[in-house]
Amino acid sequence: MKIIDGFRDVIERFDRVFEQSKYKPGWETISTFFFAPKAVNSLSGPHVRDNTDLKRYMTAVMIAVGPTVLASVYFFGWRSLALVVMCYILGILIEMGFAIYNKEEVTEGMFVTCLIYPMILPPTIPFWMAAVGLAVGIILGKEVFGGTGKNIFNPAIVGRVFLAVTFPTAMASKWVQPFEGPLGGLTHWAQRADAVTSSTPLIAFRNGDPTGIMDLMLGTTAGSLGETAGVLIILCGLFLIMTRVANWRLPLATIGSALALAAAMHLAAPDRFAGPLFHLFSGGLLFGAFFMVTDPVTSPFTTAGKWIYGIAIGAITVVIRNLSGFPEGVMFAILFMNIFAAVIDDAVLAVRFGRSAA
Amino acid sequence: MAFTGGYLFRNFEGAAEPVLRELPTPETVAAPLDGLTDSPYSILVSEGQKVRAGESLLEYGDDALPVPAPAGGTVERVGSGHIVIRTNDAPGFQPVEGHPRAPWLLERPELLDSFRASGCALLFANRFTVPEDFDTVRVVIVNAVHNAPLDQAWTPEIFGDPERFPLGLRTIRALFPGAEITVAINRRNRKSFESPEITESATVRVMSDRYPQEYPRLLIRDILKESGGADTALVVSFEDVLLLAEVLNRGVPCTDRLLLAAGPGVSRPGWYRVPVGTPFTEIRRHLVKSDEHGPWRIIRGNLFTGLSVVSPDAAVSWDDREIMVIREHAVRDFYRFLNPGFDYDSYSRVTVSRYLPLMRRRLDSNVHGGVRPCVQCNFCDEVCPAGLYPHLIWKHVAADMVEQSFRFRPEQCVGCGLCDYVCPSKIDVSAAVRSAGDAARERRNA
Repeated sequence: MKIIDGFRDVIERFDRVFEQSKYKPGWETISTFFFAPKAVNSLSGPHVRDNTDLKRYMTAVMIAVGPTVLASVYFFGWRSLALVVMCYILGILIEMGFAIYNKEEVTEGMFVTCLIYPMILPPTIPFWMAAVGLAVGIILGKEVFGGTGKNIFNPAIVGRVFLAVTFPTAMASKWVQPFEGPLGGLTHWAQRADAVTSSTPLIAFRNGDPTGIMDLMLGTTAGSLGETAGVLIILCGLFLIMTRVANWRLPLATIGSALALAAAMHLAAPDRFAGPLFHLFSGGLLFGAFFMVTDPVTSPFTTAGKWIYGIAIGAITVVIRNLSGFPEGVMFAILFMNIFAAVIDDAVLAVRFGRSAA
Repeated sequence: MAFTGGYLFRNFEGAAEPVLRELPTPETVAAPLDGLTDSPYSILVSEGQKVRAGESLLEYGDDALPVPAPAGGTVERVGSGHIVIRTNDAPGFQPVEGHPRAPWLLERPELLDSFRASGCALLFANRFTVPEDFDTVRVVIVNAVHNAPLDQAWTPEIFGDPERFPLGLRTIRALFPGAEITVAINRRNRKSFESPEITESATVRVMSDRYPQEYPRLLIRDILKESGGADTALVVSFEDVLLLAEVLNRGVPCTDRLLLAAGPGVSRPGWYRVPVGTPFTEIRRHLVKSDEHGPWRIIRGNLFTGLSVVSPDAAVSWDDREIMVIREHAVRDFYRFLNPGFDYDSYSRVTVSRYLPLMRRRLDSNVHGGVRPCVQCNFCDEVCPAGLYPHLIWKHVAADMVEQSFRFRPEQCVGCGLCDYVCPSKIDVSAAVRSAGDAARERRNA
């Protein structure tokens, strides 16, 4: 305890140093990372507050996404962890810059963005390209709207889609097969160049080469870093729902509608369209449904709105996968529905409370 | 309308034990005059004068309602806010005129006279001052619901004599002859309310165990099945029914309160019978643990909407029901957000305590985090007992668009403060909703 008290003294000494400085918000980010603020409730109430703050809330998301990061190391080598670390360093620097500029503390939402973003990138992505995408995602996807809580789009997806549009070759055709053997990628930095393949299970299906469902569920297929291990993602997603951080309606609506539409299309034309289970475990549907559709800021806040939003994302994903030129559609579906989140809420509120007078 | 939202509070440190105790008579009592001296009034005692408990100290209002002396003794000081009595030589109490007699034996005018003479009007915030006021009440709800974090051990047996509550119900029946009486209780107490004496004179209703079911507006809404009705319904607490029974049947003047004192800072948390006017300094001396373990924050009223006692002159008033004492915790905890949280209470399930229901949760005044933007986590609208979207109203108020928020019915807020409690971004949501609600009501009345 003595060590902690001494450490607290050091931190509080710096608190006083930065008290009047314009870098105070930047320092407070570090200070409150170690020690919670000592603020107490006002004398007129409420006198007690819940023990969950936004740090703990976002930490729950990080704990839930954590296993998929470990899985990405197992499948694709330590390079993926290095990518995560780079994203964190860059993300914190950008956020601190904006915090100082806006004279506000750094909001913890960024810790989730910097973890989810690398997980939806292809394993071969150059570091500089990931950095560009992250900067675009955070700045254009979030900060221009006023920061966490005001952003319309999920910043991780903005960065990912920016890269997909700007560097289509690097983003869509340079996949690798995961490592094999009991230790997998734990003894490797990255997959060898000759393991590069141009197809993920979704592309392979179009070329008439469907991947086995067992491989899809366990994650031993090519794909983005964190999206391959289907069963693991489901378990992590259930953890997130159990903590009440993610609303269960969103993933259920997304996955349910994707399954239903995929099943209907599969029944209509079994040769042309893959079955529902293949759609569920291939590509980024599970990762998106559990970790990105559930982003509270960019999804509708009304219950009915959540159902509409989730169902639309699931349906659009399957439509893009089955009928468009793109093999994968989760990111586009989420980004597309992000636009409508506020409109959906407005419509639901109009039904519930009547239309606004103005 | 069913009760949606709300929150089950469970197992907190400093929860009250189901025991009723008395405090030693305080050396001085300070009869509080807050609000009474706004209307015309006349003081009937002078400094140095000897008074008996129940003797009128002051008459207030157009109808010259009396304020009974809470204890016998010598008038020490007549101030604008208090009349202070030194209780050194208490000469017994002054019985209320015409007693002791059961109120339903009295003619109604006599009964109402006793109600008036004993100072019972003070228990109802002076809602009933003239006979016509009693006829406006169509429904009386006796509130015996206890869902707040610290008072869930409440049972009617705490207050002894099982005859007194049925007597109180008959008293209520005599005061409001045309009204329906409903007793709102928790499921765990339903055996105590099964006696025919109770069920003959009132309907017993088992209510939800989730906080804030005990809030009057929610009781009225859930029992009357309509959102209006506040003008014709009266919510009276179980303890006040007992006091009414005593006052109107035994001729004891209305001078005592049955208070809940609980929280981690109370040495023997439970229910206490104290005279009105007991100074909070006295309560601190007898009930609150020493400041070595604190410092302590003393709150009049509940944990969410009560007010901290800061003035040294503060004294128990006729409308006090509970006193909460929590730790004033201005300490920076190390890695709070990574602490598993064995003794943390949280609406979300990100603390270990959610999975260990037997762990005692700790209450203190710390905000437990920095103020952050709203992320629409939906916690506030999930717990809102009025079915509002508190964060939506807060956003309108914060953006200076109060008028546009009227559409989302801020006036239906019951003021329970749960939205403040659950907010992970530590936003003062309820204050914004309350201000929007006030503005909406003002607009409607204009």
